[in-house]
Amino acid sequence: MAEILIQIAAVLIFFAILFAIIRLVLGKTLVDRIVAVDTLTVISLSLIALYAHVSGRFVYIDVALVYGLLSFLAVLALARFLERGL
Amino acid sequence: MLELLLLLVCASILISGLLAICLENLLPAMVSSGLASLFAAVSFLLLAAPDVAMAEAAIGSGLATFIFLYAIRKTDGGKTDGATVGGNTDGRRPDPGQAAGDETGHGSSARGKPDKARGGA
Amino acid sequence: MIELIGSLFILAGAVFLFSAGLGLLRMPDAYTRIQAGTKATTLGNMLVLAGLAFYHPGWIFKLILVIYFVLMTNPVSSHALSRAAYRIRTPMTSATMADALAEDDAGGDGAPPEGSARGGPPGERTGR
Repeated sequence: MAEILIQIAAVLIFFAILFAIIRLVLGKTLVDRIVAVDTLTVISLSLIALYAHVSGRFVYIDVALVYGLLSFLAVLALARFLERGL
Repeated sequence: MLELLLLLVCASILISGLLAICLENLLPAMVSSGLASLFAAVSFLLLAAPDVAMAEAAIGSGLATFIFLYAIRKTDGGKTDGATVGGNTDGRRPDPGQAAGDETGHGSSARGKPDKARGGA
Repeated sequence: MIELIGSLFILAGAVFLFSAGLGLLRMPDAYTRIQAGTKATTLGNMLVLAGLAFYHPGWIFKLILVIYFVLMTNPVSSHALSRAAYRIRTPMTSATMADALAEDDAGGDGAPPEGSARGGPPGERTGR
């Protein structure tokens, strides 16, 4: 039962990544693309944590932590660049 | 199920790499290339190499984005390229605040090519 | 039993992540996409990591660290991004009813309230 629920969750995350990729491809403005990348980062962070559970390795959570930190810094630098030119 | 996710991640690398090549405005292309390296990190992780994934996420997302931003700022925001090619399809217009920021940085350093392009236009 | 509770948490978080992707695809505007893409992913990520904490009680310190980190950084980046989007005049949808930031800027600077939709030129107030 629990494994089936986790597989349904993986399928939902799959479709979330797919929709965000579609928005990245056909987004009209730059802000649309940046927010698509931000959303994709957090979704992939959840995916990495879920994969850490599936494979049973504790080390993968560290990757999720580094992943979130770096993407946050990138989005903040981009927003600051857009607002006042770095 | 894992193979399907790996396939989706690899397709995302391909799509964002193609987008980074095909977009004519420089900032969305930079965002797309950062996304390509982020998904490369996920694919490294799915292939059981967490240390490589960590290095890829740190360098590809953080360092490369900052260096690209610095380079785009140094080369006048890619504005001259967009003006000549006509790649204004992304809806980002040169607004007054951005122009003012560029003007303040403009007189401080000697710059060859953008000045010539601006003088010609 | 405890595994079932954890998997239900993970499923709820995945539903929120899915709704974030769907809202990112279907919303009409850059600002509403920021809303849909950031808030829902924050809650979804928190629920997924909390569900993992039910499965593995030994991982709970680092999971709480990741939850705290996402909870602190994601609203900050969304706020900075939406503010930058306003400053570079990203077009709003035609269904926008109120623009409180323009009224605030017009009132706060002592400028006369004009009939224009946006406040003054954004280049003058970048120092804040």
